[in-house]
Amino acid sequence: MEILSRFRKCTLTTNTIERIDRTLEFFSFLRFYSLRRPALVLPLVPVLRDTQVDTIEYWQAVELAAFAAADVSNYSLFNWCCDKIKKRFGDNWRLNRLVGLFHEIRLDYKAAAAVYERSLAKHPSCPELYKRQVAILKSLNAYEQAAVVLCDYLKTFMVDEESWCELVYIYLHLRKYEEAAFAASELIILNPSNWFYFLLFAEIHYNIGSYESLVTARKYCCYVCKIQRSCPRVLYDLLLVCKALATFSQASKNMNERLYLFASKHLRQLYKNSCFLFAVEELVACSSSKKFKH
Amino acid sequence: MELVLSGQILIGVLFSITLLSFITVAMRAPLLSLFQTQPAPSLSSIRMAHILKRSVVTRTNGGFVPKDSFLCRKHLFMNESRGLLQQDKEPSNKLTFMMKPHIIRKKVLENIANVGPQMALGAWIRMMFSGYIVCVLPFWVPERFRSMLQSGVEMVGDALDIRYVSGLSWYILNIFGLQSLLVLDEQVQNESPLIPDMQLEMLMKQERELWKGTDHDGKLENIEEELLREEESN
Repeated sequence: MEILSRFRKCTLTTNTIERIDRTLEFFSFLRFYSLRRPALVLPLVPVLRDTQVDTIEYWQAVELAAFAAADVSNYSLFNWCCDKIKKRFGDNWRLNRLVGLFHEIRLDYKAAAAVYERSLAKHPSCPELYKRQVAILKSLNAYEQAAVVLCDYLKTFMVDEESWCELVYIYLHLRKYEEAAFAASELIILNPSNWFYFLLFAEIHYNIGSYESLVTARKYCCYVCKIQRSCPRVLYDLLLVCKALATFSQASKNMNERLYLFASKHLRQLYKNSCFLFAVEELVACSSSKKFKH
Repeated sequence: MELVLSGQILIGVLFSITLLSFITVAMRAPLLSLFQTQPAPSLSSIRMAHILKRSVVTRTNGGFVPKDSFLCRKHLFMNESRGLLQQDKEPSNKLTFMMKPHIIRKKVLENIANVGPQMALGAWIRMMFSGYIVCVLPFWVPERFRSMLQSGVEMVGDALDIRYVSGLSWYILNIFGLQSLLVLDEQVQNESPLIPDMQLEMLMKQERELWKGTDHDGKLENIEEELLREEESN
């Protein structure tokens, strides 16, 4: 909703200077939240065409306009943006990334990879170009190769949280759970304030399925429950983990049972006034094992 | 000796010297930025910086991951032969660092940008306002400050009261006094006094020492009991 109200502010303003300001502000907003909305960006491009300012916001807006043009295959607008950027900044990696993206959108991955390769030879310390290479490999369904390229990249750019996150999903796609768990633990170390990483780590360990992994998964589920009790996903995860652990003889029955009851109670509480309560009852019933005698 | 200072001197000389000094000091940072060309960081320097950052966060947040995972990372950083923090670097000393052409060029240009305008303005003031008395201090100052306050005014002995300030001295006082304005400039503040390579080496060494005394502080050891206890108390 906020995005639409901001867009309306840009279109309804009649004062030229105010309109430029609002438009650049709108583009900054899109950029900040990494939103790609060609339908909202393209109507504002004439404002950029009529404006002659040399601020960073303006050039970032031109770049966004190029992305939007590439999204809708508007060649003339894309070329206009690229020419403008080239005239101002010369041949640089951002321009090359734009050109590469344009090739990618046209599904010409070979040309895009060549553009990135050339650009990387000139700017080897540019992380975005490596990430595009990984994206191309993913598009080509070459996940094994994508994992190798991403691991190579992470040997240099070790604290890139986004890339570790991507690596987790690539390993999950390849069903390499041990490797995915390592990458997820790296995410926890890099950003322990994000509870989702703990949940991800717990789920990966649940998938590994050994006794030690399940105990670890239960610990991490409990941690997420402690800080985020209103998350049904973690409560259901805890139910499943407790159920899986109940099949192991060495598991502490008492603790397992108490945690199972805790999770089912909070799940029911969460959906108390909801029409989905019956579904929750079903879930709890399905996940309950013979070992828990409710 | 008592002197009567003309109001025209006050405006024409005192004010103009103050304004010019201010402009000279204020223009220093933009002038420096014109000469500064940031070379693209090399992959190895990026890697070193990332190793350091990863080491710090791992040491700080290592308690959130299981013990075996933490120990595996400790080994990754501290392994005697292949550890990330133990990697042999080319011996870099201050001299070899300073001999790099782009560093020499940068330093020379910085010096030109720093000293050039001040020298030019100083020469111009010496030529134009040499011998001018521009103001009188409202407080007494010791005799040894005479050369500082009355440079450019040649008088025999102590004929002129020490509190009178000459145009050239006023300019010098302004230049030094206004240096503190530079503190407000973020760009100048960010200038690191240490050489990056040496700084990295030092930090690596410091990290190695810190790792030696670091053990796994499991933050999730008794989390199940804590959760259930919390539940019971609610």
